[in-house]
Amino acid sequence: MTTDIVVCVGPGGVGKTTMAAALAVSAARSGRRVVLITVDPARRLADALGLASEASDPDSADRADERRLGGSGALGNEPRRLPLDDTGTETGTGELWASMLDVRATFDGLIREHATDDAQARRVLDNRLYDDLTTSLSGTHEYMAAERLRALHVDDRFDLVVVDTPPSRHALDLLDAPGRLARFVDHRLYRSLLAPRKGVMRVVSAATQALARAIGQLVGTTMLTDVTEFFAAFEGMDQGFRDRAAEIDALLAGPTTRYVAVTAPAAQTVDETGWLVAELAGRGRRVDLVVANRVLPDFGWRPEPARTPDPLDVNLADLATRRDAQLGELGALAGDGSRPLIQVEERAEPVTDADTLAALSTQLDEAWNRLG
Amino acid sequence: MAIGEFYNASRVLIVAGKGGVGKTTVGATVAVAAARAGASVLCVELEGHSVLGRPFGVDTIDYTPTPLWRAPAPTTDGRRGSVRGRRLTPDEALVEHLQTHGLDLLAGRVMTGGAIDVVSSAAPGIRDLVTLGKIAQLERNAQADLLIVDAPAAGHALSFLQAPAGLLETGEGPIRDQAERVLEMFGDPDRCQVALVTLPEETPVRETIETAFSLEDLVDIKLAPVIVNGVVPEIPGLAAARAADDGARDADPRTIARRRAADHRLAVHRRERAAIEELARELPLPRIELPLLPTTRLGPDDLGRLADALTRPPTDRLDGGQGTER
Repeated sequence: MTTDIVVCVGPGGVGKTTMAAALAVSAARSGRRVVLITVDPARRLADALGLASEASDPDSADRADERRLGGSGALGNEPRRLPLDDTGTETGTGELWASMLDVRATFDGLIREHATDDAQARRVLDNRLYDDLTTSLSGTHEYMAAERLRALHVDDRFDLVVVDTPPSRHALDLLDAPGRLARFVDHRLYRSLLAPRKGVMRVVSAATQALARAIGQLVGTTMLTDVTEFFAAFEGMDQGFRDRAAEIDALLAGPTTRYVAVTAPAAQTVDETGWLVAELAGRGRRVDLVVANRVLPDFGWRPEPARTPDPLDVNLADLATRRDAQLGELGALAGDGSRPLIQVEERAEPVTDADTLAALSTQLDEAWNRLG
Repeated sequence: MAIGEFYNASRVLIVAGKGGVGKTTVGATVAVAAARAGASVLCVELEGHSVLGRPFGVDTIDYTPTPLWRAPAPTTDGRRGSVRGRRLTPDEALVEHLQTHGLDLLAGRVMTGGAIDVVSSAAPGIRDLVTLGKIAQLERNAQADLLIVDAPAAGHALSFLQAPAGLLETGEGPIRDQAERVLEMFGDPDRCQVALVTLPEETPVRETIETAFSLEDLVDIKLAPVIVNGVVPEIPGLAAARAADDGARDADPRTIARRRAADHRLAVHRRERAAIEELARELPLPRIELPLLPTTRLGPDDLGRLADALTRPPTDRLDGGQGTER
């Protein structure tokens, strides 16, 4: 079966966004209709992807308000088609689209979709706590990435979605967050907080009631009232959230979804990547490919470690030593050799435009032989 | 006080920076530098899987201070410095806070019952606040001459440090008291400062500039020099040697390798210098550069070399030869 979702995971600072973009370009050049979901790309990469004007829009705050009121629609969420250099296109059918994850707009959309009517959506969106929820609840970012992934997966314009996951210590949140939010909205503590409000006789244990009172003592009664009202506004939406979480879960576990771990040849980065790969395996998700970014090039020859004063030899020997250390680190990720590892050479210059991105993407063409 | 001894200025040093910039290594480097100068240092690791002990050859760090390193010799005034490490997770800090305030029932449910989600949504930033509150308590109790705190990774440093101010506005009771105590510590440059760590690359530099200005605007806290970690060390005479080699046409693999390697390093230097220049242009803070060492698994000796680079006055380093491992 042909891969139709590629999830890029990895620690922060490895160039994951760039690698995800390069994978998408490579796939488009081989004829796929690809949409890339990026998260917070660097300015020049955003330029290269045609997303820069959105990233640097000074009015974005105003426009976010406008969007919340049902105005102009998503800023970064809506994919934009990028011109594809057709010299590398094999079939001529390839397309490359890019979008930038807009957490707030995605969350707004989710609320509107699951609300029973406009009035309910407005009660949630206008609540003081909603802003905090969209930024502070752990996993919100990841959940919204998964939500966008689902929306673009079912969009007929595309046959492949490449998603760059948010930089996170908890890269697994992409897998866990949908279910967590569903549980959150449906938490029995809220039930107990809500019960008196609704004037309904509920069977709530004394312990749970006491717990709710303790929370009130901790955070203060005003805040407790706020949170109670907030969750009252969610009443009836929990089933929708649960169904959607199950749908996303099935998608992420699907046979045509592939996981690519992006790493860099530094000790701590490799350790974190190894941990991530193992954790994913523990959840039944196999990482099919490791992409090691920023590996020093092999210069083909190295001087004997003689005490030569020639700076050219000193440099060559130094870079060769550093490369050895890098390859030693990466060896730990190859495991028994069953997991392919693609090395991407360190670039002296950053990716600045579509051409340098296209050039970089050729180093990842091999990835598609592995991913299918 | 020399720039490189900035850690003497306060009792708490919060080390902040995005994931992958080497925050933990920088914290350990400062710890070794301070311990060599006679200080008793306690490194506090907040979350994630434990990496603090690694350069010291210690596998796991737990909640009680673990000895990590001891200065090889006492200072001239007879003080022999040491580095210890401990973990302090937000959950642990919250449980302790709750128990202190007679909320044992809630404390018991924080880890298991999902109560943390309810508490966090009612009082965003509460986990950050109680963590900082615990650090302020360690500082007041003079647990060490210097407390080095490895701040949360990713883009969270700002929200981490903003939490007390936010909760001072909205919080009540014990939460508000806690926020006041932390803000008092933040506002006193003799007690607390923040060192931002970055890499000599465009994106981390840009984020560091933004974080520094945001901290300035939103949090009343002193900023230490910015640490630029992982700067590829220069090799004296490389540029000149490459220029001299330019004329010859030679298909010999040795010549090609020497040229390509030189071009690579010089291009990396240009890229890194451009990033550091942007940092210097945009951010009116002193900077300290730490070299990228050739080993990927750092040990105590490597930390010693980094500590040398940290404490050496910047003027010594204008020859560009620093950190060259030869």
